Amino acid sequence: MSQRPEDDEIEITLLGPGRGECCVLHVGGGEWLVIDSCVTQTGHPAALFYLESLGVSPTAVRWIVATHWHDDHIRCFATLVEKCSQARVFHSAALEKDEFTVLAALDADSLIEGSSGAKEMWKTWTYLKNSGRGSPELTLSDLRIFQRPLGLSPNCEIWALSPSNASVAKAITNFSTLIAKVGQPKRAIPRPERNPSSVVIWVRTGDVIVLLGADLERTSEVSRGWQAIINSNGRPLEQAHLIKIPHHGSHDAHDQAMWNNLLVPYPIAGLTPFKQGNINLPRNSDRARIASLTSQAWLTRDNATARPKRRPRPVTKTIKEATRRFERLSINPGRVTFRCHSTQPVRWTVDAPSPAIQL
Amino acid sequence: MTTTNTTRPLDINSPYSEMAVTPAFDIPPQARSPVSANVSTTAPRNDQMTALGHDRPYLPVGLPVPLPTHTEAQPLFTALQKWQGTVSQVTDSTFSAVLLDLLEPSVEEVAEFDLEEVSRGDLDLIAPGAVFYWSIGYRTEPSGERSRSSVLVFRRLPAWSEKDLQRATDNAKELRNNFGW
Repeated sequence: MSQRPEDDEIEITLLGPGRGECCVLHVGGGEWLVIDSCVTQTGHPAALFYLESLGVSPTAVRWIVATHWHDDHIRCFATLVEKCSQARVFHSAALEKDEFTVLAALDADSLIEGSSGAKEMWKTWTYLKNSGRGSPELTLSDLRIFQRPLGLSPNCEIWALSPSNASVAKAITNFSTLIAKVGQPKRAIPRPERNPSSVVIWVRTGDVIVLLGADLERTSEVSRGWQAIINSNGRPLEQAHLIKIPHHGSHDAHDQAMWNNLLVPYPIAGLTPFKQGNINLPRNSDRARIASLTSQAWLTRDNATARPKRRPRPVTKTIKEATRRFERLSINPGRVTFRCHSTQPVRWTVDAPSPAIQL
Repeated sequence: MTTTNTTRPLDINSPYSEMAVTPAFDIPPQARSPVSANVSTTAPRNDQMTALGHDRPYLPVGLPVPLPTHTEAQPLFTALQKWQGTVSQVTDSTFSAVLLDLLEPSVEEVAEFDLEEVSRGDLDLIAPGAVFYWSIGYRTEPSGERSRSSVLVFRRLPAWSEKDLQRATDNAKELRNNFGW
């Protein structure tokens, strides 16, 4: 879609995995919300690239949310924040705690090249501090971030549904284990396997509701993960028509109660793939499960990696000899765009150019 | 894999050793820091040599270069490609890593290596988050014999000190105060 959405249209565009994922939302009235950040093959924020393709100025972005600090969700987040000069910036309340700020300060000071989520968060904070834009706003469960004033159309509400207090406490414990001790060798911070404090966003524009699942996982405790949202009395109770599938379709983020309680039957869905080490998401079983629960489900790319870049033949030959597996991670993100007028009946238009696929 | 098994260890004091290991492109600033200097100032023992090659191609730049005292020729390593890797996952026999192409830093790749590719002396460094350099190039012997070579060298970064941790704690405190957290 190269035309910008009409004022009464809601649009959700999923971008990924140009290392990571990003959601760009038009919430009506020419106002935009960006959730997380991923980059193009050349290392620029994909959200800005997409908005530019529609002729939308970055100043139309009113809110930017970092759902969590993992590298695959906040690539070039600081640049995105800087360019979207009118945006309020939100992240999980867990990140303001001593444990995470020290972790980020250490990572920024480690002399290790390359990006990392903690380093990017430090960079973002440093920019906000030095530019005078002030501190980021902290999200906790059941927090209304925005409500369009009465009289302005279409009506719109944006809510954060997580993290719960128990999730924040769990996240702090996890951060503590990542902080280096005196005498330990300097290393990059490894990507944690668990992510207890991801920020789930709920948006209503007119009659249309969308749920953006971030990387929130299923837990056995009612006070954390999807169970905390499902059992909350403070959240909006209306069911969503569209879901950004959590955690790249992973089984550990699948909670049937979430599908039963937070979504209409057979919603439309979108997701992005992920690859690290031997982990390749969504797996075939995940794809089948998601397809069975939705009216339509779209994946921005079939795979999170691509063939390596072309190099001189001696290099290519040696790579093959020296490695078991060698793939390119930095690729141009795939895109799936969902649009719908904000009044009933809810009828989605989907634009999913190659390499996006339908499950 | 094309390898060369020289019986003569590299002489780090040789006037030609820096020439012999100078990469065909700039080394990033951090790699020139004293941190990497700690990595590269010791020539590998024979038992540290990898199955793929045994040059130490990342000698620190900026260290004093000794004046020539003799003219014994050393192997020349001409790098064609170089990555910085960060270990993401380790199994019993392999490790996976995210690689940053140092010739084109916007390119990131992911690779899985056999642990056998790593020098025995570096094996204890392999853990999630460990940083290494991987280079592919040509090794040319003084005799003129040339072979393709792949070299994995793990960075021996200094340990976190009390001072490092205090500085991070102070920086974090200042930020939180600034934000009113």
